[in-house]
Amino acid sequence: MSAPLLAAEGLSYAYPPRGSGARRAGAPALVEVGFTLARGETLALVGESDSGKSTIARILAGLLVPSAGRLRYWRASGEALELLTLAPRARRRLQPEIGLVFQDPYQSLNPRHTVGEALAEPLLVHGRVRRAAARARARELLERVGLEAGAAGRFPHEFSGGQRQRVAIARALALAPRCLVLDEATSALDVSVRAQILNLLGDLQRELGLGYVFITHDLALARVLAARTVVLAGGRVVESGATEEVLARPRHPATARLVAAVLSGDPSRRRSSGS
Amino acid sequence: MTALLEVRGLTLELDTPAGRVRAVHGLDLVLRAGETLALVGESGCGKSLSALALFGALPPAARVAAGQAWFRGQDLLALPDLERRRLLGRELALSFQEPGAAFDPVVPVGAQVAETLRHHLGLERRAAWRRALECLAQAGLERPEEHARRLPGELSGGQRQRAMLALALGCEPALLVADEPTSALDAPLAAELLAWLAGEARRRELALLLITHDLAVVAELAERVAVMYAGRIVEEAGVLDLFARPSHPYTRALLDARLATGAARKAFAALPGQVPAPGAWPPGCAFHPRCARAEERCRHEVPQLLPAPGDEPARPAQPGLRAPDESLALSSRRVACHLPLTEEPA
Repeated sequence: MSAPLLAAEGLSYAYPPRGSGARRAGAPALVEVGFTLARGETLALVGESDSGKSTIARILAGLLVPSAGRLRYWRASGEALELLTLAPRARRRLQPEIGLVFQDPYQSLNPRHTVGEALAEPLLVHGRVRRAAARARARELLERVGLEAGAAGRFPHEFSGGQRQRVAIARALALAPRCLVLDEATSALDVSVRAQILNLLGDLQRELGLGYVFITHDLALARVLAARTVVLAGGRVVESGATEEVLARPRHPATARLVAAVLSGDPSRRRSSGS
Repeated sequence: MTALLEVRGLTLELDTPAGRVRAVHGLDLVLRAGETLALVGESGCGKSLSALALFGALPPAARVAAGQAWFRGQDLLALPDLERRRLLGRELALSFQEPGAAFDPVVPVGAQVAETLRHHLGLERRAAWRRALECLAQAGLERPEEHARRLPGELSGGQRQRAMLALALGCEPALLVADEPTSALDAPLAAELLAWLAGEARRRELALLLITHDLAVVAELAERVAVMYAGRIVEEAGVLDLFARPSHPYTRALLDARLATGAARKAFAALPGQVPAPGAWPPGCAFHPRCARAEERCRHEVPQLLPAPGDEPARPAQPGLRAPDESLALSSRRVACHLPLTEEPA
């Protein structure tokens, strides 16, 4: 087992009460969730909608504060930090090390900023670089994710979905993170484009030693990406272990549902064939 | 059996800042009663636009430049609006990727289904409501009495999808065009919906035009597949044939981009580059810049959609599903490629 990067323990979170709607007021969105991630590892967090997996993404990215639990993070030096009890300033300073990539990059990019500005912004906010250096770094990042440096002068709407996801990845890489939280990062993409993005993520992980928390509803994706999988249902971890083991011998009904949902991709093995 | 829907030479144009460009070029499609045909391609290939054209629902920037779409003896593209509206929803229905698009956000879903039934079938108010509840129940929406009174926004994504299908199928149409029916759903809901759609299509003898980029969805539902690239059909075949031995290099690439079931962690067979935008289609075969097999001829000459080499004409699309069809050579494989792949089935 390589060096640890992240460890969540007993994470709980309750949504604030809502006036109406189906969700009961104060229903727990997370109940004592725990998992670990090693340096350079991919961990899959798998669950259906409303299983709490996106809440975890937000907590890891520092956008939500859980009501209980611990979140430990190991710096490159090996020093372990308690992220949830850090002083806000110290936490903010650390945040660049954990990047977040959403399903729909369109929602995370300002339509009125060029891609170059979008990439330079986190550098200017968090780093101590000058504008010219930030621009140069933005171009470098675009090339790193397979886009031309000239893309820096264009606006988000001028890109296809796959290209925008490359921009979002470049943006997450801008601050030299050690961990990326990928929240359904490929779900909105065409299958062929998804393959390109998965390859890119694989290359980046090998080169930079990034740890990935890959959040998905698709066990087929977890299977090809992650050696270990954590299955969530109703805000709880219902199962975790080697992905192949989870797939081969699901022990919880929620896992069984996810396993049954994996499509064969082969018309001679379709489940619904009436013939 | 004759065709239920026969699209001939459908050509669509788009107004863009760079001028008027072609988005779909001479599309031919034939769909028989009760059959499921998948129209497959990446974003931007023109598949959704083609479907919208049938329903007279093109976005303002798009227009039909040429073509016909024959449905039960009427050309949908030439029908006056009023007559087309009488057919739509009644005999042919459309389901959207994002079910929100089908509903008025401030009217309860049950009332919207009932209203459609009253409008098309002339049911009186109470009968329409009862029938709406039946439709919602058939569409797999649990506790229809309760959910029918909710606004679209108060339903979960899966429930909204079911409600939209209840709306689409309420008048027992002969043809359903389903645009990415599962891509807004998580995996378990998607698998459930596919199984349900397959069952309904059989039970109702519903013809289904399935529009998707995902070959795993095609594998579950379709009998025949038409693969689109840059506004044209590049290959068409029975589903088993197409998956076992694709003729077009683009089809091969799409199949390779599926997640391998089995082996973990290796490079994914990614197709380099992206679909060219309308107006930026390369000359010759539009796929040639991304094709490893391309040679000189592919760069200049547009390949025609022709019977694939070595294909016996008119055999059943899928053994056991339906008898060979003499009226349409379409059951056999057609491919638009100068250098089609000729592998034998594995």
